[in-house]
Amino acid sequence: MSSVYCGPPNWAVTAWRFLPGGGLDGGFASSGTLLADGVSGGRIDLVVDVLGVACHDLLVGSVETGARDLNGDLWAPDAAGSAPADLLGGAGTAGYDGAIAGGGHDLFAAAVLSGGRVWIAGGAAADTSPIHYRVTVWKLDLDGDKDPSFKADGVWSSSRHA
Amino acid sequence: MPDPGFGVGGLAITADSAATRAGDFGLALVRHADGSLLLAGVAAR
Repeated sequence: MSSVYCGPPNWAVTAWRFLPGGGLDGGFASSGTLLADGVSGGRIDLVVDVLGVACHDLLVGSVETGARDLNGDLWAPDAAGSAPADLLGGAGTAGYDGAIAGGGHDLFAAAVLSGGRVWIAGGAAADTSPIHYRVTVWKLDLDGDKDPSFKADGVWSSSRHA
Repeated sequence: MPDPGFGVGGLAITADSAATRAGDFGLALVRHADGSLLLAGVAAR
């Protein structure tokens, strides 16, 4: 008898650290696996990219902060799965809303590191509808704060949306 | 070709991460200078 899932998923941000031989690194988080739920109650928490930053891994993704309301988020586990002091202000994670006032949905697709800044491309909705994504680029510093030297507030969004 | 020096026949399989539901998958991967790997994605809870 088969079964199907009903309702929305409940995803937690997850990272697995493997030793060169393929075994999970038992010194990383819990037996090699780090589970990080986002904001309490959020169900759609995911990682879309990983960057090597200051000898640590920087995970880029989104968390659900309300009913289908995604915000951008970063996580920085060190080799033990703990929060390193030299990234994201030592907090281990940093979240922020999108570019557009009232925008309810921010979803990242890719990130690159250049000049001590993290460039992230994705989409931000101009209202609370997730079908109204605008192409968006964020420029962040290594604390996860938007860099005001890029456009007005560290964010650029296309002016056109469906 | 799969690398026989990695996992079993080149394949490493982890246990379910959150135990209660299937649906764990990796979306991004980075290789460190010491040869270790970090795979990141989601686990269904």
